[in-house]
Amino acid sequence: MQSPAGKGGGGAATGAGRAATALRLPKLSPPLKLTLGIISWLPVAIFFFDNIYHISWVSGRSMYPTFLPDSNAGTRDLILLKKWNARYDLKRGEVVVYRSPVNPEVTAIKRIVGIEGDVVFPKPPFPGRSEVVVPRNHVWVEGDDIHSHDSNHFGAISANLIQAKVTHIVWPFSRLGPVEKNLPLSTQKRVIPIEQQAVTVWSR
Amino acid sequence: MLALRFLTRPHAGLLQPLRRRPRAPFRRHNNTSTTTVPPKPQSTPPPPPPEDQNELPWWLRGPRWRRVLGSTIIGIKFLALCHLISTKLILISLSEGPSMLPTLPTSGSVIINRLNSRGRGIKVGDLIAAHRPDDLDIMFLKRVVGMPGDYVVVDPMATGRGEETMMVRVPEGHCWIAGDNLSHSIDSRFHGPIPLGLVMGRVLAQYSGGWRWFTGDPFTRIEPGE
Repeated sequence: MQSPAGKGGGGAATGAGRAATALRLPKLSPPLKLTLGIISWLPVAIFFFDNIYHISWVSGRSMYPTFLPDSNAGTRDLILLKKWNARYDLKRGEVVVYRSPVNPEVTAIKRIVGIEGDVVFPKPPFPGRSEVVVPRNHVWVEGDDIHSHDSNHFGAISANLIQAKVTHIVWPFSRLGPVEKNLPLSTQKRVIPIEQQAVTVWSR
Repeated sequence: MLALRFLTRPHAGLLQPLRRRPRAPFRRHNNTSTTTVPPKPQSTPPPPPPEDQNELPWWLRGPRWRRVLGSTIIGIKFLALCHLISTKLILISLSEGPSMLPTLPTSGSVIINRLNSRGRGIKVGDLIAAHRPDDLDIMFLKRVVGMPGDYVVVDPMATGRGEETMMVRVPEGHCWIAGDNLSHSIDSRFHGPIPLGLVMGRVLAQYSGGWRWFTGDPFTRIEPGE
């Protein structure tokens, strides 16, 4: 003599049992659970810092006076790097972080002087010609300081080497704010932008 | 099946069992029997045994908003893990084009070891994947001919055309690459030496379609350089 009530109860029990067997997680001790929880966020953090935003310290004098204007004061600059779509939509005057073509393990920070198609008149260390047409998908980068190892040494670099755009100075607090995107006048005179070229020497 | 279920019953958790409504006991429509059986006093069904909710992982437990939020978080974590593996460890990618013809077919897929990115541990003779210097979104597969400091012949086919062979020294931090199918390859003869920073990794093996999954070893190992 079986009552429907008994059947219903049995059905519910099997249903719950199936769910539990399908996704049974091993019992973990709370500290281990916490550790696993933190570790599982690591890939997300790495993705964020590699592809969206990153902060970094500046070292080296090549971007004086934009960064480290008083390097003998012992302070270092902390900058905000925008990594999302960094290789796209490059403009003259933007400060970028790129992987050095001379040593791939090193990144350097410079200002874009010429984008693809521009004619640039390089400074002395550059061997050979007196003017250079920046090739397709390449940029001409230079430091703000005279003592900088830049495109005047190794020529235009591929835009694929660019890792990030520098958007803001975060530290020191007195210079907190966006990085200015103007080329110095002396540098502007050495570039003929592609929009101003009477005869296009370069085609896409 | 799962998608259909998710469409029809979006309020149900993705991995939770459907809880069936208890079906009414079968009853004939035209019940002609005159003797009406007095309905039994139905005892209320005992409440189902409490579902052991602690058995479920936390992202499938609790109210709906919590389950949705939890599943989203788990999905983000999973995607980030996949991205991490494909950028740092190993990448499986489609390949096409005739430039590596004897080694790679015109269409297939390759397994790329991302630990060799940025030219770490790359030797002469390795098959590498690299970003094209003059295009943002195109990668190519080529063979390394010269590493920094080596002297390479710019165009091995120049003598055949009656031109003079030219040798260059590969500069610091660059490598000289060439396709195996020299006549249909855009490589360092065109780009010049490419920076090692553009190297994505070394090709470990190639797989070219078909049904060889079941008939034999589908992968062909690409021998490393020396």
